[in-house]
Amino acid sequence: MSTFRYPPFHSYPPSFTLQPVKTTKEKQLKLWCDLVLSYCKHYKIFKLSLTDSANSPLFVNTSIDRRLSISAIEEVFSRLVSMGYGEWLNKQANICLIYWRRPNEWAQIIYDWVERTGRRKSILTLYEIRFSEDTAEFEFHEMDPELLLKSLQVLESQGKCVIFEGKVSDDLGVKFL
Amino acid sequence: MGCGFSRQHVAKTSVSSFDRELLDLKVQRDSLQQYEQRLCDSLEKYVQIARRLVAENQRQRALVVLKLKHALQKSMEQAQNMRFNLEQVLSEIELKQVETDYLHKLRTGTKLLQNIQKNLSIDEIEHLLEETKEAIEFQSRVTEVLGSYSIVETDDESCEEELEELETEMFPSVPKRLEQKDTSQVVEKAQVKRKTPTNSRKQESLLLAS
Repeated sequence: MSTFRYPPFHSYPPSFTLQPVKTTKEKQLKLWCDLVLSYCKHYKIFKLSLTDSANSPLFVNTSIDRRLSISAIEEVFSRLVSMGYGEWLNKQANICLIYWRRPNEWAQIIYDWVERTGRRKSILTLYEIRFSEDTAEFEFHEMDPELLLKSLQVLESQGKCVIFEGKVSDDLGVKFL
Repeated sequence: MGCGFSRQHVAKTSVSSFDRELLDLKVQRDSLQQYEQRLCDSLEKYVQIARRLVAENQRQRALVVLKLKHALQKSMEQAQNMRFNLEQVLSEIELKQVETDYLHKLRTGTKLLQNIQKNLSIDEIEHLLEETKEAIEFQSRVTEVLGSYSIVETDDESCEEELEELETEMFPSVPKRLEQKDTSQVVEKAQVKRKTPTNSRKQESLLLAS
């Protein structure tokens, strides 16, 4: 995977302190939000934990010796969630699903694949969608299981598939209608 | 809620017991795949450990590690075989499903065909075609008779003469040689000639040819 190229503001020290002036802060938050989305898209990261990402090159620029504080990161994540580009995964709100692609977009991609490969009326396990050799060249290969489930639930609400369990196993499967 | 089943309910009912069992098979296949992956990772680790031991000149221990690796390799092959067999079974099941579905549809189609044919016999069809032919023949005779009989006596010749006079009056350049031609054709061509005066020669040859 090629190295991610950071945008110019990432090398600008004031970017790492949340500005008091409202309009500047808005612009600043937007820049950080866009950065998080493109970074996650590049490295196919589906969720970020507050504490872990606080030490990652995403929020730390060692060359200018600056880092974004955890509370600031939390604000960025909350902003993403409010715009519909993310979702808090747990109640303690320290892991956030990052939707650089929204569940309904994933739903469409997966459904297109199902149609094109003639898998309608067939049964697939969720594991199979993520890890089978058949899907290696598709974008949803190795995607986050929770995100996959959410995307399939979108399809289910549209009546395009059914998610169910086996008789014996707890693992989930999906049948496309 | 009074409109009957919600979409979700309908969707849920399309999953049969058979589907669930099939899912179990597939989940088993997935577990085998995961197991294989674990073995693969372990194999790699053993190779690395063996290398390190050789580098540290611990031949005996390296040998033990390699023996472990070989045993693991055998397990991996067995797991691969099992997975292969399972995949075969799954694809057979899928084929059988398609076959059953196909036979069912064929049966329905044949029944449909038989139902339609029940209403007709060959004799009936022949009789019907004869009747139709007679009806058509009768109709064309009727048309012929109606067409040839003119209720009002008209003097066609004098009418045609008058028409020619009118034409000469209106379009003096049209040659009078067109006597027994379809009058509508003549008027049409004459009008075309009027609209395109530059093509007069072409038009004239056209008129002469018709």
